[in-house]
Amino acid sequence: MTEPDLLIIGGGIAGLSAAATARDLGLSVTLADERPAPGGNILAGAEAPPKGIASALTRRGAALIAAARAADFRPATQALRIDADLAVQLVTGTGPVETLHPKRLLLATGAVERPVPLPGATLPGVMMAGAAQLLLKTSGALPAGRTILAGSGPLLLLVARQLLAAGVRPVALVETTPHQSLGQLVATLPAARHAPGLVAQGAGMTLALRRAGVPWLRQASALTIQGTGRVETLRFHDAKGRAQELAADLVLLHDGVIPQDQATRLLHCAEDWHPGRQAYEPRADLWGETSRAGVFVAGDCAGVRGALAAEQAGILAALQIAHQLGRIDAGKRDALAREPRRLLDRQSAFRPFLDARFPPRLADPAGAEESQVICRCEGVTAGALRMAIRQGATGADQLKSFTRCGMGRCQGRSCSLAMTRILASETGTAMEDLRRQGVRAPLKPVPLGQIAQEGEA
Amino acid sequence: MTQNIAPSPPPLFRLPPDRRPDVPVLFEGQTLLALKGETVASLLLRHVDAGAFRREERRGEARAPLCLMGVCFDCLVTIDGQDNQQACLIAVKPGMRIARQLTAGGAL
Ligand code: FES
Repeated sequence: MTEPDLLIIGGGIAGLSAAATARDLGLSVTLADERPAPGGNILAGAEAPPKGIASALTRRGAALIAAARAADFRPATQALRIDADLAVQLVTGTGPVETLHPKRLLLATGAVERPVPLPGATLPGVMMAGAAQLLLKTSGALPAGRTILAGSGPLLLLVARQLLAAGVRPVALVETTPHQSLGQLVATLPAARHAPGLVAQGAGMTLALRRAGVPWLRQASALTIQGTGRVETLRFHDAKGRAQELAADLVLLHDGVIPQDQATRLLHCAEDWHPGRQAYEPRADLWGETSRAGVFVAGDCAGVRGALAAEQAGILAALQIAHQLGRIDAGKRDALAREPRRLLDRQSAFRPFLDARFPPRLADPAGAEESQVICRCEGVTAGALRMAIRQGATGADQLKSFTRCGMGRCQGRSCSLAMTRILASETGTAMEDLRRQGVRAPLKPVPLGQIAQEGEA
Repeated sequence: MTQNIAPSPPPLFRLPPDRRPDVPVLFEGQTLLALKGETVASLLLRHVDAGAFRREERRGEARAPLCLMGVCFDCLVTIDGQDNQQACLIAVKPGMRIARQLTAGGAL
């Protein structure tokens, strides 16, 4: 099917739920995901979850995955190029490039962990906490050596608890979450009221960690990782400002998540800086349609609001797409949208509580030392970026071509936000007023031979 | 372009005893058993020292998988003769040939 009604890129919860709704309404749907199995991060391994991971969400997810597998689902498939007329080049594994011409495109590419440019973060033995969680969920694999969890955010605490449940006792939990005064917490309480279940879940998690007696160092700052060829120690300042050092084989970092936005940036979709979530997000209407007509976003790639919100956003996007393609009238669309919208609004109302509770503090690129590596691929340091800015590279694209920051294999995925932050602080510009560096096709580097064999199959 | 697996230090991850890997793959001439459906990165994180997972092309620095979600490109390996494959996005297959890229500026 090269002209499906709907092409969905991303087989996480948002993409899966959009696919199910769209198919129920009679649309032909192709769902592509770069991973070998559907589910994204949240539903990774949901088809056969290890003990203690299954929840109501994973059970719903397993049903959505089964439905997706029965339809035109393409695992291990990358989108290389997306043109304004919605011609999308896909490649599966090392196969030839195929071009699809869907009537509508839904980007449901999810979130990635906020990059953390810390001293020593390129050392083997440093991983993101979400990476360890993916291993646990997909293969049951567990850290084998001395493991430290460091940073901030609900996921960090969740991974700590899941490791404990699996019988792995971390050496320490080093939290950079700031202390919150009573006044600050009260200010966010109205938001917390919208999802009492989630607040209780968080409290339960905290209790489980306390009971396990894992050393829990709060309000840590100035984290650095040391080692020759691999991680040996984590150093930081504790809440009282005293220098601490812990030996480790594996340091799992986390500082929240941000939208995975390469595709919307490639399409030049309008975006806004969200100060609460400290991230750029594509601008979209109530149904998820971006500034590019026919291109929709749903789930965390549209702004991080979590899995339950993503599930509903996928449904809403599918409803509007079915309406635009003449399958349902506005009345039916609105009737079907009522419940998903209510659930989505509830999740969105709760989110500010989490955003306020866990601000990113692990690694502020604006305050990074000159020697700090910002671009992992090209080895570009904060000092090199600042020097180039002083020499006149005051735009993101200019800075990229001056320094090669963002020109490596990952195409800026790991450094773009940090580079923008440094640019903002050095030039005294607000994040919302900056133009970010452009994203170009192909979205993933592929050998030329593969592109040359393109067949319009 | 590759070197033998260092005997120590041990890999970063292990499997709990109830998991039985049974998919044979060929890793640098040696047969390893993988779990059905797991990624190449997942397999290698249990079998090679993280300090000898990969060297990046510019300065030959040791790197190992950071994100396992396709973002960082620090998991690149050679699979069935094709260089620079993202090990975290590719599932193992019986008989797959996997090799590390341990030479700076080597596989490009
Ligand atoms: S581990 Fe980051 S891209 Fe594979």
